[in-house]
Amino acid sequence: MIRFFQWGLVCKYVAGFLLVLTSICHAESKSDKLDIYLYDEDNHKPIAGAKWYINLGNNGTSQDSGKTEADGLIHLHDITQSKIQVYIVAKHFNTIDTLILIGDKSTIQILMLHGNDAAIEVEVHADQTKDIDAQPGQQLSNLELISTRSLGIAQTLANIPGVTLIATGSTIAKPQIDGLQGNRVIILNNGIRQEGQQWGNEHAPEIDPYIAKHMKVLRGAGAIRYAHDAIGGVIFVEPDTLAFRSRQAELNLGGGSNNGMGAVSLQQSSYIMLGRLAYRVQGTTKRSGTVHSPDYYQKNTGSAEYNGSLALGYVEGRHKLEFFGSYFYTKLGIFSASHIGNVTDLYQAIASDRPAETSNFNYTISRPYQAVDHSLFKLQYDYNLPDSQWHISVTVAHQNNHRQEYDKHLPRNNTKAALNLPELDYSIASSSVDANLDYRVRGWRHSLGISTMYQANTWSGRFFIPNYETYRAGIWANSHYTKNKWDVEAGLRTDYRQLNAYYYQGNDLLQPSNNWQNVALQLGGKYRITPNLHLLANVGTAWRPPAANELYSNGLHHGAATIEIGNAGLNSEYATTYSTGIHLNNYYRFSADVIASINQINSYINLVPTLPATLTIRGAFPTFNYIQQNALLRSISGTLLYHLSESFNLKLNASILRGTDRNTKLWIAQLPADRFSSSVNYVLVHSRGRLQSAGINLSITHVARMWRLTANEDYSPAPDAYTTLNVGANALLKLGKRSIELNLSVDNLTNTRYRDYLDRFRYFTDAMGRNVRLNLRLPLYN
Amino acid sequence: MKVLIFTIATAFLITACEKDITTPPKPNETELITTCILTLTDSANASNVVKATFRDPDGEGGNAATQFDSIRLKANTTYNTQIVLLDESKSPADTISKEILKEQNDHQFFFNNTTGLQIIYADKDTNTPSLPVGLSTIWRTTSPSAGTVTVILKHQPGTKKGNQADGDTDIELKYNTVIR
Repeated sequence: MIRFFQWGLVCKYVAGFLLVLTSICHAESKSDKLDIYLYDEDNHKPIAGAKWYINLGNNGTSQDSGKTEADGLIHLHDITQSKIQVYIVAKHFNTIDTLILIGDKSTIQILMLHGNDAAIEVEVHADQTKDIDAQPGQQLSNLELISTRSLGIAQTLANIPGVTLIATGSTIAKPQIDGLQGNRVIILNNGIRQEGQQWGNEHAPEIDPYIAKHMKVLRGAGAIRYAHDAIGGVIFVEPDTLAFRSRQAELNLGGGSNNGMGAVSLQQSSYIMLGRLAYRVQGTTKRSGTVHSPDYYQKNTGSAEYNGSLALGYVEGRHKLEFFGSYFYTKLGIFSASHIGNVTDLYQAIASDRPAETSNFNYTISRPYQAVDHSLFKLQYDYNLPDSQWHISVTVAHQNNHRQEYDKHLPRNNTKAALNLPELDYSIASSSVDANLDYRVRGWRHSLGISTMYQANTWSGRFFIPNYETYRAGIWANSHYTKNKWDVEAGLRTDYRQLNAYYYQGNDLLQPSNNWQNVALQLGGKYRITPNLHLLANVGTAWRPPAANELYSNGLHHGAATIEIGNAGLNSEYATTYSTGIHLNNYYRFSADVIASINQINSYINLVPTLPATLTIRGAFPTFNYIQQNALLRSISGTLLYHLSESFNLKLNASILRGTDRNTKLWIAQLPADRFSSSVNYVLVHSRGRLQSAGINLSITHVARMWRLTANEDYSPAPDAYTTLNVGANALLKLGKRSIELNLSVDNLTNTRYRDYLDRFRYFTDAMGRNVRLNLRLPLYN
Repeated sequence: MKVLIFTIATAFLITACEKDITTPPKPNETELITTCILTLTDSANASNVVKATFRDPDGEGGNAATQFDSIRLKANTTYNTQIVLLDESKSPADTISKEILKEQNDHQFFFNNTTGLQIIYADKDTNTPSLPVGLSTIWRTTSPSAGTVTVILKHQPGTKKGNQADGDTDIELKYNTVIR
């Protein structure tokens, strides 16, 4: 049974493969031999009779396999690649599937754990994907992660074709998967569903990108193992696994010239009791100043961010206990000229080329601004039954999210204004308990899980969404089967949800209650025609009940200068995603990963303008109501790579999406415009002196004009198409025993003026101009 | 190990404290202007009083305004005009215009009218140079016509210099106006 080509691995394989070709590798002054010793994690004895299967890198034909002898040794020679895929199966031990970066070490140890696949420890830097999915997805490469994370979590994820940004100026961005965002995209932060005020377009995910070792996106409905409502998909943000037998520390620095951004992130991991008790502490601080558009500074666009996390792990025999706590705080200046009084002011702002307010460069954050903090606590317990085919996991988590929005518009009364209170203030607390059971036998993996959550939201300041509480409970089952050229996966899930809201209408306290219950399912498969050519197909469903803002919001959305009116009569959305993909790996010099999908969403909830504008004492405000449509989204996105030579390659990324209302045949708004990028990459194949690896690349990004708009749907027509030029260089330098990873890039090299359709501040300002960024990763010891 | 579990349990307990969600705050406990009343008195005939009221008892959003009168004036007449602002969501109603007068250095009314009407500011604040507030004004009508008068109240803390574009808009009401 060889499961090497399972989807999770393929993702990783592709990511790793691109990494090798385009960029940094962790080591290039590599030896061509490697001895891997397998040891029992508990007693440190060699493991004999383990079956191993190894892919020696990007050339799919170099594969090797065998069985370990009494010394637990896997001896590899003639390694030409800098990364190898390792897959090891041993009876009574958890299967290892990982990517090993070939360094100057010629011997490494792998400690195998009894049954528990969450605790694989490899004593070299190694990727690890523990999920097996037939659902299309993609993982970010190490280079993409390191070079873009100082910009923010959404900006980092946007490296993946099909993932775009819905932005509010240069500092606030949310990830959008195939045109869907907010409550339709689930972010799993270290396995916990991130619960903040994710319904708002100007509410960015509250996650420190520096915590992530891996980021992965599963696209479309069907991720039933994780959620019933992930209509757009699931984003995984995973920290590194705890190191029970090694100590390491690293420093990450990031800087940006455009807005004087500086980020410092420190991480240390170590053990307190060898092989038993380990910890990781991590902290990040980031400041940035006024953003510069090619012709002016965007007044009040500075930001500050302070984050920290602590992870503790304890292993005893077949038991494992893990604690994770993190805190995220951000204060974000909102571009002053975007906060407008009423519709008259908005049209005035749109009509002028230059914002009414500009400024000099500074780090001051004044009104309007947002202050958001998010804390997360998680306790996870894992147990492997003695025959190691069974695995039980229970997770308890609690999150608190506190969001304060300070309007530019101070209270009219000077005494009240002096208090400097936020105009909008929401607190949301969520507690969850999840449990799952995995059973592996002869190519099968059966999983069964339950998931529950309680959530409470309170507000003060101005009314926008009511107090509410939500109860959720779900049960799911999933089976995965692998044999020869096939991978097949099927799953079923049912969930119950209750939402009780509390708000005043006049002097009457209303307490509406809603109940929903529905089923989601998934069926997927993958067929490997050859080791280098795979086809996959997946169908999944998801359903999402209306959120509190969609049902009950009622009021003035100041930042947007709109009045939004909820609709208490909304039904659940029900989505079915059909997707198919092809994976090609160095097939006649071509590599490709292309995914095409159709997402059919019944009762799609959409916020649409309603005429006439609402008349208030402050003038007329455009008014938006929630309606339901039968939406049809069709997308194709992917990466195509052509290897000109060992050192040179050409890469093309494309994301194309169309969305229409099935009944009216009209276009659906707020979807991304067609996006293409192409790059030429040069990679230093052999290391030279201290330079272990290096690469340079030049890329062009073209975003077409969003012409698919229905008349009178927006305040202003969609902005023109734009093209930006970017260059990047990276190097891995060896200084003594350490290797420093350096990354220099210039975004918008030509300082082009442009506005993006999905940036709401396109009404007010050009996007960010040229930005020279430097990122550095320095291991302090390891 | 015990210490670890204790620390974690404490962390959970601390974060579990929440505000009571079943007793939400009443909306609009914050400041609000629900009502704007223009009282125009004929300077030649004190019994000729014209009142024009805008009233939206629950503020912005929610229910629509319940009253929005037109201003009906006589041609070639001079009116002494007073503006009264109320917050009628409170009981008794709060007279916001008194607050405006008290903080007159930070507020100003602007009147954008179509032709046929002339508005002269009658009051002045204590600023140097002194600038009008606009709570009491003199309106002079000429020939019969129809149009609109837009009453704008701007909050301009520290920036008041008679410029309508500055500051935040607290009121912007476009009254239909008829001069006969």
